[in-house]
Amino acid sequence: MWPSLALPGVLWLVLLFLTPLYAVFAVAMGAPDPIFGGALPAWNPLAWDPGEFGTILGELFTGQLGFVFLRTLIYVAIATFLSLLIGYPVAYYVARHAGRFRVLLLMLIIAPFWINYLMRMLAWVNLLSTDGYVNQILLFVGLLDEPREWLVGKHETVILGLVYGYVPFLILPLFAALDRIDSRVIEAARDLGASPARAFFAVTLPLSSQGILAGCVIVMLPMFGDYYTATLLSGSPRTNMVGKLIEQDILSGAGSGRGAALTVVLMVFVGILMTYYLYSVARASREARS
Amino acid sequence: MAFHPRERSPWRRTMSRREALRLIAGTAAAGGLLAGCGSTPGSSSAPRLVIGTRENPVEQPLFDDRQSIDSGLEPEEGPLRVYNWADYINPAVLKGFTQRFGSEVEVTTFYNSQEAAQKLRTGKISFDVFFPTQDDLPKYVAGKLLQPLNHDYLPNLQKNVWPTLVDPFYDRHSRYTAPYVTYSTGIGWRTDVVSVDVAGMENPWDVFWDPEYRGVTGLYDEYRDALSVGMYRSGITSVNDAKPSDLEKARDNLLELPDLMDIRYTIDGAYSRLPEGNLGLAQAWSGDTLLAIQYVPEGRDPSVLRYLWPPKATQDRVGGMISNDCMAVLANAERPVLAHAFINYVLDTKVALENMSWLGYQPPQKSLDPTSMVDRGLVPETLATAVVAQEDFEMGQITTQLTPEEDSSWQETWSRVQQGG
Repeated sequence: MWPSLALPGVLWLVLLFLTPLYAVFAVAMGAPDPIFGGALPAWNPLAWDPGEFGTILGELFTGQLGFVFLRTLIYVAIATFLSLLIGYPVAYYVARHAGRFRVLLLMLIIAPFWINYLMRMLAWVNLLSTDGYVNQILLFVGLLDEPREWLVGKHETVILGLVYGYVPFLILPLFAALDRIDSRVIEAARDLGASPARAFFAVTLPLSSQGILAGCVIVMLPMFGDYYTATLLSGSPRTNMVGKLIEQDILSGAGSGRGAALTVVLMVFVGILMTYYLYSVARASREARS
Repeated sequence: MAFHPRERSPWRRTMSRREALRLIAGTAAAGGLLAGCGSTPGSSSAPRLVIGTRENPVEQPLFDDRQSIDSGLEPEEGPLRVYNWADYINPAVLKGFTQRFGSEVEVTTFYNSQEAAQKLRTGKISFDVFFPTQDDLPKYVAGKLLQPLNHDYLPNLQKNVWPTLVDPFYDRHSRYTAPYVTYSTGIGWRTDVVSVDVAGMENPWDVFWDPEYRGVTGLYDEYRDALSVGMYRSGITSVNDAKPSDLEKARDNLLELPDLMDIRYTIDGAYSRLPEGNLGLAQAWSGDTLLAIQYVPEGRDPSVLRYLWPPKATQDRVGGMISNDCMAVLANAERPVLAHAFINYVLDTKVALENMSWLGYQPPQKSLDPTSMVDRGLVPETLATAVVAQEDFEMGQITTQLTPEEDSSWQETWSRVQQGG
């Protein structure tokens, strides 16, 4: 009886994950469409042609594509780290010290989601423009001597956009993890003579590591596929992420096979990173327990 | 790379294998799920792309199973279903049609041509009127997605439209299409940012490589438009071919831009970022330039905006693209008579003007030329250069469809440009 409860989940997974994934493979290894361009999906695996993967891997290891992957990785790593730096204190405060304002604060964290992501990014375009508020404020407080051109292919602008766009996703699982920690455990540490800092590092932080892990994975995955942040806040090839190249290939028609192959390569790339990451975190938490 | 990797598999050229694939795709589609990415309906009779050029005009092929409607029929009951680009028709025009014919108009929008093609090819969705670009027409005809027009329902076509586009090179005798709007692709700039005399330059496209305008320059985030600027920079005008040396030249030229110019590839550069002052110099479709006037922030001066189409400014010495969009009736339209009525309605001069006042893009109406449009106050004098005249279609390069192989080469080059470095 119990295993049958998993049926809806399994169905969901097959219909909405495995089938589309198979379709991506079929397009990546499909035959060229003689009329409409792009690739006709090859549904029969015997007809699969891996030529597109050869091209992509060639560009990855000998061409410029490798740098785009590296850039994407660096952006995502920095943005995730910054999100954690910003998100952890917020989640900590809301979970442990916000008192009766908890619900209100949580609402406020989610509030940006009521506005469309594109709208929020377009708002940043205005804020960051040469005579926008960001420059005006920085000039006023004396941090800048002259207006800074934020929107002309600056790495920091794209990373800022990523952090801004995804940080709430990180706060929520962190909040849940921190909220679950039994406060008596921390009180016990303090009773036994630990300083507040020691209690935090020896008790709270390890106990919230699962939340950190979940939060990081949740923000990293969409960041790897993100294409519109860099498109809107920069538009320069200097700051393009892999997602942008995929978008371009797929939207323009002729490149749908190429775009699908690139999607698979990105998936494998992220998959390897995530496996390593999950493995090392799991090992760290095992060691912390023992 | 000497040839495209897809050409390496010999079996691709054999028909039997492809048919086997289609069979498999058909079986899969029976499940309903995969239909969205499945086979082309009715493409069994060896369809072929018929691509015309200005020098070699073509008639698009007719098919026995794609007949036009008979004359003298009454328009069907609505609603009329229109499949169009987003924000590409004045809502007041739709309202006017409803008042006149008593049929509601439902507009469904697509974001790009690829998305439109994919949806239409499923054969599962039925629209009546469709708005393809001129250069995409051959594939829609070959894919048998359109039905021939019956000109008895379209008196306004002969009466109002430029003769060049009543009998256009891409679709002689307007078998499948009526022209919708025209546009050229040129250079837009603000006089308060750009001081150089762009029109007086030996090659106006060179302005995109002038480091004086570093940080304020933008090109379209669209592969054919952007890469063509890379070609025009080197004096190459074969923008409808895919000669490897031309594409390499274009690529190398564009790869200079990120560092030299802090170039930005955007789609809203000409109509939004330029009037807002976010950019000072941008590649621009003429229609975007006319639309830009509406985007100038309140209190700012719209007369700083300028537009230039290099072929016209240099007596056709320097290249530049010009094209038009079309209206067509889909093969599986449920209300084909009403669809014809709609196309004829949009070709009415008054309606066309009402449409342009909102859209910015210009219908190819006989009564409209740069002088008359400035006189009527439709276009400020400073932007008269953004008005397309019939004779402009004799100049520059008219965008035509690339074959799938050529298109792939362009796409690969563009991807390389976007990788930077």
